[in-house]
Amino acid sequence: MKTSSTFRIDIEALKNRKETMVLFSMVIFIIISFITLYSYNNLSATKHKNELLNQEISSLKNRRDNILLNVKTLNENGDFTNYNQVLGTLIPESEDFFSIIYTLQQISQQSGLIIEDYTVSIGRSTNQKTSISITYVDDQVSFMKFLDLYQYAGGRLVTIPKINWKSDASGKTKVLLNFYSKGFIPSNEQVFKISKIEQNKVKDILSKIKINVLNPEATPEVSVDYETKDNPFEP
Amino acid sequence: MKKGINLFRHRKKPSVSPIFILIRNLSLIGASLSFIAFIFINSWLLNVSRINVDLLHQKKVLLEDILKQKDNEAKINFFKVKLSQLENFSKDNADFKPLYFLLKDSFIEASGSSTIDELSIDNKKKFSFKINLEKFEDFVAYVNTITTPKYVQLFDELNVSNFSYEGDKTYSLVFSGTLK
Repeated sequence: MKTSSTFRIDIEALKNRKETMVLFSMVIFIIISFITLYSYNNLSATKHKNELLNQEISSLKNRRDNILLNVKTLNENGDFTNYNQVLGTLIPESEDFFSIIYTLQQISQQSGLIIEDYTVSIGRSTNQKTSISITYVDDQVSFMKFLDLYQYAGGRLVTIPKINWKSDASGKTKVLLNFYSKGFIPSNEQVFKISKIEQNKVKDILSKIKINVLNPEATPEVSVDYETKDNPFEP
Repeated sequence: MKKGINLFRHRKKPSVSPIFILIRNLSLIGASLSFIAFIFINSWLLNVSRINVDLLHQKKVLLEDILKQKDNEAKINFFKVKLSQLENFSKDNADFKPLYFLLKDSFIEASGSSTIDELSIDNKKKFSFKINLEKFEDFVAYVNTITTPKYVQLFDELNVSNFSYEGDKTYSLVFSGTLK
């Protein structure tokens, strides 16, 4: 039988040392190749991880160095908690109408401009901007003083989108003032260096604010020492 | 006939195909090369893994440092964010003073009888102003002054929108344009 004889020859060939060596070296080759391939993949993955880690470390290093540098420079030029307090008052987290009224009162007092009335312009206001139209009694000197200090002096950031000035104006004039509020969303982004220009800008604003926003307790208290009566219908 | 086994006869070895020899040799060479590659790659991997451990340690130290400065970082971020909000919102503002002082300077330089009658400026730096002059010489002097390079360089655009001479011998000039 041809089949059984072929089989017998193969068994005999396997028994032969040389053929066994072939099989053995092939198996070794395959095993080492697989392990090498696995190690290579591992190597590539670790190298990639290291590249990412290097980037992350350089960004973290930059972040830490910038924090330390900013803290150093800001503390050298006064406590920056004060700066933050001023900035937080100029643009509060949410709108506060009482502070708008207070600001108008302060600007009016400091400039001498008589504000007759004010109206909230709903159409021009947005969720970050409150537009208020004020009517003032024309007085060139006071108006020039008002233009000099309106932006920061009242403690809130005020902008005027358009100014019309007339030398012979008399009576009452309207001007639109914008007040702003915006929340602070903390982010884990890169911390940038605070430049000298930015610091000086805040210092400059701080010098323009005439009211004491840093210490609200310092504002004079209203006296409550007045005469009272128990029965309101009593003459 | 008597049959017997000849024990001295040279027994014929089973034939080995040359292809088997080739495969065996190639496998041995391949296994040796793979082994060398294995040694090389694994020592490289060992080195890269050591670097990885070192980098992880560095990252941990940095994160700890940043965590210690968490409050300061929050303050710095607040400062940055609020200042950028302030700068953005301030763009809405019509800056009146530069134009006002520019005109004041030009009047002093022209040294005539000119006065500002009306002045308007918006947050896009678009402006218009009307000046009154009593004499024609003052009018010429003022136009000559405002068109000198010293003043022209301060404007992106400067047009004379209107010119009138009124019965009471007053010259009126209306300028409009955009400031730089």
